[in-house]
Amino acid sequence: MAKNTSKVGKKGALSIKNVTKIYDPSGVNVMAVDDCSMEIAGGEVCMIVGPSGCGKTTLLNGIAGFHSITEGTIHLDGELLCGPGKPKADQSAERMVVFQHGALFPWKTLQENVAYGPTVQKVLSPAQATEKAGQMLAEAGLGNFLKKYPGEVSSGMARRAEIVRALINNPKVLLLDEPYRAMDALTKQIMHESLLETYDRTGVTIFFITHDLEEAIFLGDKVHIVTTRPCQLKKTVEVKIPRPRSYETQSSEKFRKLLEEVNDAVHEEAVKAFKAGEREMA
Amino acid sequence: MTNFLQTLFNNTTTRRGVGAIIIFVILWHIGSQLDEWTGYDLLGIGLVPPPGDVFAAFLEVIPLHGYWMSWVASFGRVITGFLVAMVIGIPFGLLLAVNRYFRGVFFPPFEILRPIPPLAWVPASLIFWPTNEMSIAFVTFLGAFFTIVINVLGGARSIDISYLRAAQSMGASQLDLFWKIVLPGTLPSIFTGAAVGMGITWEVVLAAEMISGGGTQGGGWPWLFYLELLYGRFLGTNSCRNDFHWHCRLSIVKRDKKDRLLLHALATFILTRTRTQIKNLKHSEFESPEKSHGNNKIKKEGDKRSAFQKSQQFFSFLARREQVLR
Amino acid sequence: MNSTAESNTVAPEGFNLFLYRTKKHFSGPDPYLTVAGVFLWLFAYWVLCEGLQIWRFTKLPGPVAISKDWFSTTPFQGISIFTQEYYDHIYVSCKRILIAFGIATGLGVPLGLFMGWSRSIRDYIFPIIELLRPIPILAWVPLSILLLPGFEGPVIFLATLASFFVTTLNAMLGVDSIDEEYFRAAGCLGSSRWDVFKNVVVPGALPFIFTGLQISIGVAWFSLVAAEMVSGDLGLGYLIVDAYMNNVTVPMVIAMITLGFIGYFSSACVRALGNRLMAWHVKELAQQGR
Repeated sequence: MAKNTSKVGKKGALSIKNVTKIYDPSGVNVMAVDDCSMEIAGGEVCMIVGPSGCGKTTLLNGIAGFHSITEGTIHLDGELLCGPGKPKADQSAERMVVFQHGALFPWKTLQENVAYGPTVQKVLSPAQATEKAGQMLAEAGLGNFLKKYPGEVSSGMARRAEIVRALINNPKVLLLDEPYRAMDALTKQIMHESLLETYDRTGVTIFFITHDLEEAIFLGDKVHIVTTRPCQLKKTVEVKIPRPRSYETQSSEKFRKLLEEVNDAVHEEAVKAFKAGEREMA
Repeated sequence: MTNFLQTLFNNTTTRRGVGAIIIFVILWHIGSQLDEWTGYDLLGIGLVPPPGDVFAAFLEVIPLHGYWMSWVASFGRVITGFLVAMVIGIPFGLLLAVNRYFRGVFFPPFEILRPIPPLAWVPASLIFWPTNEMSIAFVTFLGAFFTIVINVLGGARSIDISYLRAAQSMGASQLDLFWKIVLPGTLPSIFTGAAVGMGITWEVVLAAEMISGGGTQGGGWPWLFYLELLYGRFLGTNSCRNDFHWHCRLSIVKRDKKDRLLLHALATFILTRTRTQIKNLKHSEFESPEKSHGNNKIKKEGDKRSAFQKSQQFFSFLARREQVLR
Repeated sequence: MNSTAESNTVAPEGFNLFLYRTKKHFSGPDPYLTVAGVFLWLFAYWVLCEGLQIWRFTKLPGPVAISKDWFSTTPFQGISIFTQEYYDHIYVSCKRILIAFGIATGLGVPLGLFMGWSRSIRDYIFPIIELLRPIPILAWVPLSILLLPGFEGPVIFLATLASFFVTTLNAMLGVDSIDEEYFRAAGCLGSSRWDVFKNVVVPGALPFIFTGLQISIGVAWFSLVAAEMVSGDLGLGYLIVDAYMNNVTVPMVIAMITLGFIGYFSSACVRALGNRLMAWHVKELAQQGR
């Protein structure tokens, strides 16, 4: 394929060092992330797994520049995003976010949504952007839905279009925040295959937050398991299953072993989180 | 207390808000004094009393019996109209929501009447109802009624159908469904409707009082209210007068600036309100007033005199009109 | 019809879709109930006023008297669809509403959007609006007569003021209602502050703006009628009061009904415009089965 950029460039290496985030709304200290460090190599699919409400999204928001961080540094390809003296990263098209609930603009058609980024960045003229958006959507199998509004298509299609909207900007890192959370298992399967296919084509670094362990192992090169709040790196599991992967991979022995390993680590944290939740309620 | 104020003023929003209001009052003062200070009058703003006068006038009104009576009168009308609207509107809205045939028969006429502004009903209700009080209360009722019904209907129809199905699967009867699901489910919208309806009621009651004459002579003499308003009392009073003598007292109150204001307004008013209405009376008496833009004293004096003559004509017209009505 | 034929059936479009909907509409009881309801009410009205001539109702003109005058070339009480005067009143009122609604929308929507968009603009302007808003519109009458010259000025000012507040507040709430994630997404995609305003704030607030405009045109009619009744020289509100003063009741009722129809028509226009501008919203609601 002409568009195949292969993984030679290896851009988009994220280095997260000793990041701490304390929310301080009206004097109530909530430590969401505590001294969390992880290294993500360029072109890697990095999955973050942890119990809900543990501060994974806070970490993502720190990278994307939606929130400031309290301590620590985040570097992208050796460049400082945020750290001492610069608590909040600039929002930039090199780090594209795909949101938990989907944030395609409902008032723009899929094509207009995808063409939006290059147009406002003035990388392409509006006509060129529209044309390229049409091409990329067609590649993602959405060629018949260019003129539809997000409200008119299925959530799976909308999510796929959102990933296309992110990719058209040639980001270094794709940040996904539980993008397939509300989908049924069958749609999820298709979405995984589509994401893997996209990844194989572009080789972009992926930072993917999820609770779904099978999803984490199936998609990831590395699975980072984080503790319950405050969020800290607990364990990293390397997934040495060769690519391209297909859904048959999920029934292999290797896959089940990895799943067990991840599950052991996560379950402990989930129990802790659950108990903490009970205490908070009582 | 100081602590509270401190925290209040540490808040940027509060600080800016208070600042904005203070700036607004200062601009108002400058605007109203512009004429006297510089001789230039911007769009007639010079005719508006300055905020200090308004406040002083407000203090003057507070001890008056008539002022408080007007509160009582207006509150009485609002509460009557509002309660009747609630009592009729809520069951009506619920019935519209639950019964298809009832909706089919009653909703279209309701929709035809709804866009008619409540004030357009004032004359008709003055004719229909035996007393002035009843007609004002009726118009107030209309103002709240349509809003309440639409809210109740919308609320009842937006109840999640799965609640109804759940209740039915547990063996609820139609009556149970109504009392246990529809009514509680509609309550939030009922309160929304009531709150909005209450706002409209105040709006309507004021207008109805002005148009119908607020229970004075029953002939539609809203300008009695104007006199009160002209003295800058409109910020403090949102209710009407039913004490005619109090108006007379007000109109005798004389202060230089206010006097000019009153007469100018009266003259303008006569022309706007009655120009076509009183063709059969002496039409030629009323000519278009010259706006007092001039900055020399003599012109002002002349203007005042002519305005004064006009107000004389106005009162004689009033008396004649009174006779015609009786 | 077998299953293959059915799967080949295309969804009706255009005129056929209209025909299909009409047919579907008339197959239910609703249209007949509507007709029955309207006639029932007219009949009840007729019985009260003209049939049995119940006490107090005789003071009001019945449906027969009204329609006789309304559709007559020589109306007994002066106003019918054949008299020029009737159209003069309608024209004047509509013109005033158009001007007032236009000014209120032209000022209110941008102001509301900016208030929603920028914290400091809101902090400075919102308190003043909240201070002035609760003052009943009619309380502005004397002030507007003082401030503005002529007949038209005060009347239009009052109608404008009423709908201005509604429009502004709804536009502001519309911006508040936009999900934070859209702003974040726009930021990610490299938008400037102005891009965000054009592409997120304005379209995102549109549903609320149009809800506001619907209310606003109703409020504009409300205050226009009030203003015309108090200080107008032409217009439907004036026609009502004038008829009342001259003890002719038929033109009064005709003016009321006309107001009802025009009021309904104007809000239908606003609704249609809104649906046209917000195709995405309409389709989204349709997908949710609303």
